[in-house]
Amino acid sequence: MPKSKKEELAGLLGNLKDVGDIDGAAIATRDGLLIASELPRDVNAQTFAAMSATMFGAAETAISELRKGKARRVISEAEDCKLVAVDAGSSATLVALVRPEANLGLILMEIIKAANMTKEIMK
Amino acid sequence: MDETKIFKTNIPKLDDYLDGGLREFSVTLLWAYPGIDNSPFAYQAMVERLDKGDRCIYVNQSKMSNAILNEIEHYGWDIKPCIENNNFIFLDAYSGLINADSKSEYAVKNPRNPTEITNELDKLIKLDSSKNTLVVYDSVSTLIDHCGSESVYEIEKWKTIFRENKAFGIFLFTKWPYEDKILDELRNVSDAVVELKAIEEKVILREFFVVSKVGWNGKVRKGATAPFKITAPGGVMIYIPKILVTGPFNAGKTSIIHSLSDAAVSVERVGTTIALDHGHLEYRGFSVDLFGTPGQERFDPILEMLGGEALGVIAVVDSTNPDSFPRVKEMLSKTKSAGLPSIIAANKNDLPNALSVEEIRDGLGLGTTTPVLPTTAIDLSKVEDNKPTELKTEQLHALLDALFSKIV
Repeated sequence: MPKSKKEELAGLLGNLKDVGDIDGAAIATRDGLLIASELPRDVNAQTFAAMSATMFGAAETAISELRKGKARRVISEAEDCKLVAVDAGSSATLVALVRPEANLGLILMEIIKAANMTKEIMK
Repeated sequence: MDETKIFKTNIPKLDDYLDGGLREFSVTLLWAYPGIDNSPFAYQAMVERLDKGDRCIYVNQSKMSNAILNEIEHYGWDIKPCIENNNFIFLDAYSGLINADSKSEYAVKNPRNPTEITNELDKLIKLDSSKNTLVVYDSVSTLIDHCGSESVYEIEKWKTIFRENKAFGIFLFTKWPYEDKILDELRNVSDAVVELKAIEEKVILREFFVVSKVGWNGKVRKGATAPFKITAPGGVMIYIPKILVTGPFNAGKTSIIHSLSDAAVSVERVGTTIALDHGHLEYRGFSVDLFGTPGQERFDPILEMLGGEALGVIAVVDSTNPDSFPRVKEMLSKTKSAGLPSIIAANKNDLPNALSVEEIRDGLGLGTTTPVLPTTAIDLSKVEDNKPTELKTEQLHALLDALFSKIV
């Protein structure tokens, strides 16, 4: 039986987590609903999705106010992690939880690859 | 007068749709599409019946008895006392399939022979005729797979047994690609069919149950649909992934979300929501996520962005501030809330200069179809600037009741 979109997305997030230095990831709609997640157990995935979508949307709006093109990604750096939110098509964002010491260049490539695959799956 | 007994399933909304619940002697088919687990529905109904003192026979043909007990426990239900006093009995039709010795007191030696299943079931039901008996059959798909498609005609015999012994049934079925003839016969022989399906809405997969057949009279709502989610512990809940809480600045949106939720998260600065309030609540079998928007015009891009895909709207208005009413209407249009089930929370309704509910309805230019309900602080002396206020629970519950009844 062919995999459902939900299973495909879950598999994709699982693979992303297997890349070193990524502790978790989630895909949310632009309006803040959770589509799929692979997050540490104690994280409320719904709230995380809503807030990540808000963060990405707010950055997008700020940038479009400046008329400086399309927002590609939002990276927020915290004490114990980096949060990377990238565009995953017109209806979704992919957010990854990255370790603070990670080499962002390499990690970004993987995240963008996953975001592009998300776009394909949700077409 | 209709003397048929009614048995509640304790599955939210389903009992309403079935005009009270399952009927004596009836067979209800839980018709799941592949990928959806229908067993929690059966467990939940079973636990309710055991709780009310009925007896339950669980015919397990697709998994071990122990696996089923573990699952029931996983959902947070304790049926051990019922096993001890013989109110819950397994009829093991699985061990025989895998050539294992059954650990159950009652077992079908050759579960590939439907007549043998019928005979064992008949014997077991007759053991105690004093009680009503719910028979859970898990599952009809396994029956067809192992006993052939002719075995669906065996169900007619089981129904005769049910009629003679104060019993009724919930049968699990997964709709693999069977012949239409089998599916038609199954639909025919069942008194009620509840379909469990997943519908993809844009990108989100949502699970729904639909009552697609009901054979008994009464105020049944055939075709009635409700979105659900299985939670552990908890079981089957009606799932509403987004209710939008919107309204002008300082109306009390954050207070409503924090008072309703077990744990709410807000992005706020000096008491003003700047991005989003997010809260989750469970109430009367509903599992709901609340999205609260900011109120000021300068955050309208966020309002428009987060407004999508809501299933219902709570618009919060400050009863003492009629000047803000045009803004309420503007916000409802920006969140694309037109046509969605919506409700107005007339907050601060106990303050001296508050308008009445009718005045607010007129002020907003609403018809009578949108309920306007008052909400007030539990303790006015504890209201502080820049902090969410605790609101009266019974008023919030009235608000939810009114909104939920419009959504499903």
